[in-house]
Amino acid sequence: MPGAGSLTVAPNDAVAAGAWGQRSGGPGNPQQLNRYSYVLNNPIIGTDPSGHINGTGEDKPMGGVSPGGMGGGGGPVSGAGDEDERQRGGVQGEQTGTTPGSNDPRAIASEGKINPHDVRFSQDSINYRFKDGRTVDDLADGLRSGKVDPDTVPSIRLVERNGQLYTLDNRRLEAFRRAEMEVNYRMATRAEIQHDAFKFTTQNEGLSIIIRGGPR
Amino acid sequence: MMSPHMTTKVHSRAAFILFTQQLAADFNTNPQDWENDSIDRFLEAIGAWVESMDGYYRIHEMSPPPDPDWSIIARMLLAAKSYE
Repeated sequence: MPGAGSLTVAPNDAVAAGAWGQRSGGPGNPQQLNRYSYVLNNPIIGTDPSGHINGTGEDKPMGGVSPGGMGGGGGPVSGAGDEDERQRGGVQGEQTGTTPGSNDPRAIASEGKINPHDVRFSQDSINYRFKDGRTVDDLADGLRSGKVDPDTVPSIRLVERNGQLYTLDNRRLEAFRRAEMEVNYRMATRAEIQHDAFKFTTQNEGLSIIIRGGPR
Repeated sequence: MMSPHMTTKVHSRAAFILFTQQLAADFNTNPQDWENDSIDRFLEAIGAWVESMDGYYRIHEMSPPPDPDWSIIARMLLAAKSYE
């Protein structure tokens, strides 16, 4: 159950947007630094294969050493620069994104700060507006101008998949990318990953994301 | 609490009706968990998720059903609860 257990959870960006000015609750887990805090080979498949959950349901940060390689779950990948393919009909938006830098999930702590360009998007697209009506650029502008303290924005939740880090909080990630500022993160719990399994819709391995309803 | 697993059990009209009742109860009980808590955002999210659901099926190593069934309709509704 998302939000259960010892963690303070921002289940979605709507909550995050509404919580600006409040300090993000950090994990109460004493595992402050787990250099192997990344999930099993494929947390998505491992927790919700075909919708059949085989996880334990425990609400704790994902941990453990990945067995073997990073195979599986792969598929045709559209290049990040494949603008024409990404600007599909029916979606009024823009594509944004950069190629994530090289990161090593095996060396990441269970929480901390990270370059937003080292994190990939889980979703194929996002609504430009948060639940409260504010926009991605509102947050990015606030961060750049100093009106929003980045430490008051709830941490983005990360999931490791096939050796890459993906976020469950795509809009916040995009805002920090636009602001060119490091973002607070924490590893998602198993329950959060199960809850947000539907978010994994990226069709280009999370390299970029389409903004729905944004300025053209 | 609604989970993706629940949608895999929606194989009949009766099951779908029950699912929608559970979804409505979840909304009433846990509105703070709903990213899309207005009809316009909810409908927009359904369309967005459906447009991108090929990615969902590929990532989960599933084959999209050749024709819409009760389960996928349930999946669309639940996905729209939290799809950004």
